[in-house]
Amino acid sequence: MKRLTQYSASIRSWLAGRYDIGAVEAFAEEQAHKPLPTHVGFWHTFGSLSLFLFLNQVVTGILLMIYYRPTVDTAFESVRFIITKAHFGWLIRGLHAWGATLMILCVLCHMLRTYFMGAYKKPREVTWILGVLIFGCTVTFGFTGYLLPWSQLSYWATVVGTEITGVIPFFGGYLKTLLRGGEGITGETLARFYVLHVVVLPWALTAFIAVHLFLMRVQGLATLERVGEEKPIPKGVGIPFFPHHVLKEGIVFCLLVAVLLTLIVGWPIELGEKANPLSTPVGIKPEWYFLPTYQLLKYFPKMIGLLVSLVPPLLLLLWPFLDRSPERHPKKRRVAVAIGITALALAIVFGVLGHISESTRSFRGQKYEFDMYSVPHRVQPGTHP
Amino acid sequence: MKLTPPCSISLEPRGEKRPSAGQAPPSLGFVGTLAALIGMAMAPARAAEVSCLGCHEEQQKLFVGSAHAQAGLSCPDCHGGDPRVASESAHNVPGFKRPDTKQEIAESCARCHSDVRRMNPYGLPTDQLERYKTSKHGEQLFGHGDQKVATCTDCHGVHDILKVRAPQSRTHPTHIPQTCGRCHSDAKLMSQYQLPADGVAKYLTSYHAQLLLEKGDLSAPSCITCHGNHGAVPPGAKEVGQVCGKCHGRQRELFEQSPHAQAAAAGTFSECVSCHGHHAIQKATADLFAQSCVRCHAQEPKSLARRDVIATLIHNVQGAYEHATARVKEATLLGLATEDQQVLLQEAKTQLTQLEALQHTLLPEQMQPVAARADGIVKAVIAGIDGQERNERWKHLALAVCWGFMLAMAVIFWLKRRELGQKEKP
Repeated sequence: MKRLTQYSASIRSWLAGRYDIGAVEAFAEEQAHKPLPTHVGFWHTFGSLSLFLFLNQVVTGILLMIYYRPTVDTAFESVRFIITKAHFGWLIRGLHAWGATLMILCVLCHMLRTYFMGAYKKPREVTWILGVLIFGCTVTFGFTGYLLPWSQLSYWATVVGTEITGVIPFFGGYLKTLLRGGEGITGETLARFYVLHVVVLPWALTAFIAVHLFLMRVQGLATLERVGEEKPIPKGVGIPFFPHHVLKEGIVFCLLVAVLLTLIVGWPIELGEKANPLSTPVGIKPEWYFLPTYQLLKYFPKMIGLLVSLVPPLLLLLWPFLDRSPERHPKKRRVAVAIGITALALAIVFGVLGHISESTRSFRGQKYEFDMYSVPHRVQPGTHP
Repeated sequence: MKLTPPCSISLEPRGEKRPSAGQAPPSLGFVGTLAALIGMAMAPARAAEVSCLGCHEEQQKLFVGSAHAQAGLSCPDCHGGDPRVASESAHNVPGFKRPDTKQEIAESCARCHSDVRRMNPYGLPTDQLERYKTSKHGEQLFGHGDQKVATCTDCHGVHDILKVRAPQSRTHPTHIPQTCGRCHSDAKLMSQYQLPADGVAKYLTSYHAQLLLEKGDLSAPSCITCHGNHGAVPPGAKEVGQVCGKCHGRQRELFEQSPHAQAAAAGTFSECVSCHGHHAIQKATADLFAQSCVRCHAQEPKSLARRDVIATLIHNVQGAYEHATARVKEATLLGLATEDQQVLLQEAKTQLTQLEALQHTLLPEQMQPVAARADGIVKAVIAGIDGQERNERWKHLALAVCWGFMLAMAVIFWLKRRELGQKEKP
């Protein structure tokens, strides 16, 4: 240990002879011990969990790229190779696939916390907008990454997912062709999605996260005080970022890793069968985070459905400018809280409806067939299905 | 020259207004020339020289898409007559033919179809008429003048004859049951010949029909595969084995080693038909033993015991193979490496196919080594999958260790946090 301290001191001395290391140390010290508002609790750890999961996606994504081959003839086989032959390939793919799901969940929880605690209000509107863009990037990551294994489910989910862009008036057809690289889902689509997934989106997300974090550190975490009435937190009053908040994050981080590993081992994401453009599987559905939109689109004609489904993301993006109330505390923002709870409930309801639609389920010994609108139809015994 | 639409027949008499050799054709202009070129390219040259269309428009409509029209034939090639005359008097010339009897139809077709020089370019056989005369149809027609039996046009059509390989053709494999059934499903007509009228209906319930009509397997047998086409005759009891053996060669060969072969030679056993039936042949399963053997051997415990040994051997190997296939599929979907097991499954399938063929010997001692080989392969497949699943279990063990470590770390962090909180309390 003594030797280690000596080495560390020599390196510092070497650096100090060349750079203003004192300023860097002072900045790090200030950031590490910056006091956080007293209401900061476990809900405030979802931001850093999202960041950890993003780093997990980057590292596991780079490792997967070593063996993954983005062509129609080799994509499925290379993913199968990764999970069956490559050393710990199953673990890397599991960390990437389940990590993506957990990342979306953590980003969502982080946004909910920000919404209910009014943290998006002045002067943090831009931080919120960047957060919405980060969420958009994350689900686009999910959409583009879903096609890459080139399995039946991923192929047909992409067929359904890209089809909707075609209904946009004037340039819908062009947009669909641009996205697909032609009329159908082919090797061109795979190449485009791969480039988006491993080049465009990672850099875009990195940039958004960097500015988001920078603004968060510069402006500090929002308190529950009214807009314009926030007072700086004096030293000794707030919760120090290090070690107090970091310990809290450490606890949640340990639990998250344990849950992630459990999901990988207990519920490995099946590769299924290779994509077959000539055989449409029954009951194709998108990933869970697209289910509410997927179900919502069924209840409206295509064009209206598209407009309706554009309302929630637009509302999210513009919300700091629509909610003019200076209050931050949830108890003093009953309308905003009610809107938030309703939106959340609607998303869950539509998600569940989407999940059970076009399936047959048993309830109290009676079989029910749910149609595309999730309306149950009792199946008479002895009839198909 | 009067321009005619593509594939139509000109009403102008042959030779009239046609430019003689060396004489320039009348000017048509650019559009006219283009239309003429298209017309020439699309219409058979000789079809444009016939005047029959004036009265026989319906026949012409049928004829234009036919194989004969594509080959450049026109009305006079079969019917004779004077195509230059655009009135009924065209018929009043020597050589005009209106085939009145079915014999005349057969002979008329044979004028070309028995001509080796004419058929050579099309790769068509030239013995159809000779074969036809050996068929039951031909015997009735040429021997007894029976005009109710089928002749060329009954199966191939008249003016709209298509090549056999054309999907709309009456003689395309998938349309054969329908074509034969037009007469052979007519109970009234068949009763005149003491023939059953349910052959086609039974065939349609068969495994052969399922392959041909549902799966589109054109190599699967239709009526003509067993009965012949032009020389159509019902195979006699002794010929059944030969007929089935055309496709099921290995089974036929193995059957010759069985005790049934002697009975068949003695005329007391109808080879394949005795167990499998004929028109309504179903996909053979080991269950067939339970239904068929008792028909003759109900009172012979020794024969039934042999049956049980054979049926059990097949049943067990089939069951084991299906189980292994399901396990491999399940493991593949779970992400296990099953390439080696899939290769082994192919080998097991080969052994199973061999075993299924060997049952025709009715000799368990020949089947047992093959069954043992198949069983060994299937066991190796299952052992491979089991081994991989065992390897999966260490993941659960590792997970438990990870949980322990992560929980311990979380507790340490929590205790440290509590300690900090207590220290800072005023």
